[in-house]
Amino acid sequence: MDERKYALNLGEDGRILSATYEEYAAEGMPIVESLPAGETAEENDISNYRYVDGKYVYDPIPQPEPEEPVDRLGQLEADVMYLSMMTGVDIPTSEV
Amino acid sequence: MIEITNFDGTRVEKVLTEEEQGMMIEEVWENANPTSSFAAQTLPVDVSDATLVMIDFAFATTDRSTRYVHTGIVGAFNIFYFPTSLMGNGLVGMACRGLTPRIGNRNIEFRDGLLKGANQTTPTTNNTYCIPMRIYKCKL
Repeated sequence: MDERKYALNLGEDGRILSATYEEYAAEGMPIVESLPAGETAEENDISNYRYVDGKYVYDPIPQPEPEEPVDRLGQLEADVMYLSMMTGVDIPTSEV
Repeated sequence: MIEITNFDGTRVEKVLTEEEQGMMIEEVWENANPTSSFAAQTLPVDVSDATLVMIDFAFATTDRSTRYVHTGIVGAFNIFYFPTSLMGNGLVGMACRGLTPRIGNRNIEFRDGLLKGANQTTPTTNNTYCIPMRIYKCKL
């Protein structure tokens, strides 16, 4: 039985945006026998590849740095203290 | 073409008219690699003869068993929100496939995936959430 082929949806620079099966291909979509894969999760993510001249080029998208957790209670207390200073009103806050 | 059995036992074949067919649903796209990130993009999908489009979303690349099927109107901007969880404090986390992706006659525009935790004030871009799995067009 023939393996299903794939159709690639590419970005302007050849970046692979998504893949569907050949029967759902739109005009102009490259048809390929297989999708890029590797050993790590990043290498198995097709969006980390570009399709250039019929070949896959591994070009991983930089991952954003994880955000620092926000100390919301600390921020709220700081806001309350600021308000207290600016208004001259004594607003009690929690004691650390 | 369907086969109809008359009361007298005779059988005839009949071509149903569009009105007699009722609603038709046809799969027009399937994600061939749902474990991959899905960034903002325009999918070339011809839904010009359809009224509604149903998009089957998986919660995340790492959780494809949790699904949400969203119905959109062809030719309109549609809102796709995917509530993630109801936290014990009553706040709701939320994942969505951007705001107001437009379903055109021959393409569907998707924005980046967004994720907002229950205690966050603003969502962050995360294309491993709200992964389109299948798209169906519906003709009423």
